[in-house]
Amino acid sequence: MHKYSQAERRPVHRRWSHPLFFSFVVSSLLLGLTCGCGTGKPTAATNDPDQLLQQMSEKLAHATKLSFKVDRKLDAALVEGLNIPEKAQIEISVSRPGKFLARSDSQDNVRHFVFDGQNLSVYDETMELYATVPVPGTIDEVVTKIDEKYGFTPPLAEFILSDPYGALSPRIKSQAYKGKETVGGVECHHLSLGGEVADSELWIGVTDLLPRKLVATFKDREGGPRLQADFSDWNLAATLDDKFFAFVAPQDAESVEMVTEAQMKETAAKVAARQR
Amino acid sequence: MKPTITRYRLTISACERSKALMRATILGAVLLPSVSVAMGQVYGVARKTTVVSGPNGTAAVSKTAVVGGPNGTAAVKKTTVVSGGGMPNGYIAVLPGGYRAVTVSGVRYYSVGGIYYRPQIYQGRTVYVAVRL
Repeated sequence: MHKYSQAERRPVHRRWSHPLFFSFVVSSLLLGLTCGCGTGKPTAATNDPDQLLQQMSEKLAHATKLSFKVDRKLDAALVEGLNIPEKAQIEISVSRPGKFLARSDSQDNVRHFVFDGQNLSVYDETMELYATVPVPGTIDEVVTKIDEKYGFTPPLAEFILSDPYGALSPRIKSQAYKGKETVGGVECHHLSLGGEVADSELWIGVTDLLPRKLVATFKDREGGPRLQADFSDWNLAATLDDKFFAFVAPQDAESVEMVTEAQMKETAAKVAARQR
Repeated sequence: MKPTITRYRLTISACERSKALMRATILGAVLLPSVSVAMGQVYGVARKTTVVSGPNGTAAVSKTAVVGGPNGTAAVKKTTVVSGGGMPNGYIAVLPGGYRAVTVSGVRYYSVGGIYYRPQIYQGRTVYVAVRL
């Protein structure tokens, strides 16, 4: 947060119009980006929620191969067709820029989301069904494409993107620092992040600046259902080769269609119209 | 004098425009790497599904499926989705108890209570659409 007074701002603004000064500032910025300055070890934590969020984001973004676990609880209202809360243990592995694997083990089923840089496969291990769609690109690109076309993203995708801050910050309408609290034995900064769709509470480790807990209350649904995610087992230098992200359908598994949002809407509308 | 002033003004203006363009270009290049991914989902929670209502408040959906024909040849078979009050979005997320898997023309369906369901992946989860075979 900038706390400069108007009097302090004016001279700086004037200096920007000076070609030499301007060139110096721009060169420094470009040099900083090229050298990766500001991307190294996070500095001492502050109590500025925005800065903490950025530091967490930088820490995650600079791990090229990482893995972590999440214990996720979803209230029933957040899952279509579910009338009891879903509890899932999720293991997520990432190899930047273009591979990830997420395995979700809940009381109802075991699902895998596998992206190898070319194809995304969703495999329902319990029902022995899978669907594969071609979406070549980076993790950021596949998350965007899948979101737009198929109406979903991998679990907690915000935390595996190349710029988690860039994904999270546009949604944040208000933020507050709530102090330090211990989560799972780890001292954390507690942030409160207000949004249009959901209000979130996020706990970030004081020493490692990694996300430790997330509680999101969804305001767009009746009753304000919640998602709770407890992060653990962070490994920012995971050993993951390309074979790890190669999806090979098990022999007994059957290929099914991955239905797009548009397909579901269109067909539903046609039949509804036919029945009128 | 007037033409001189005008020329001077034009010169300044062009210079300023040039500077502004240069600044915009460089700042654009600086800011480009931080372009964020816009997602409709929040933390992987699927959007609320739009329900298309049929008569009596029920919802419906129809699909045309390509299924395997004899000797591995492909054949197009039209299946009409059965809808009702129990399927407000045209599908169910969990099969009713007592279902059994059946394979028809090489395609897996689930049968329970005289209704056949075809599995699909929708919003990252397996859902079941009731069909008439």
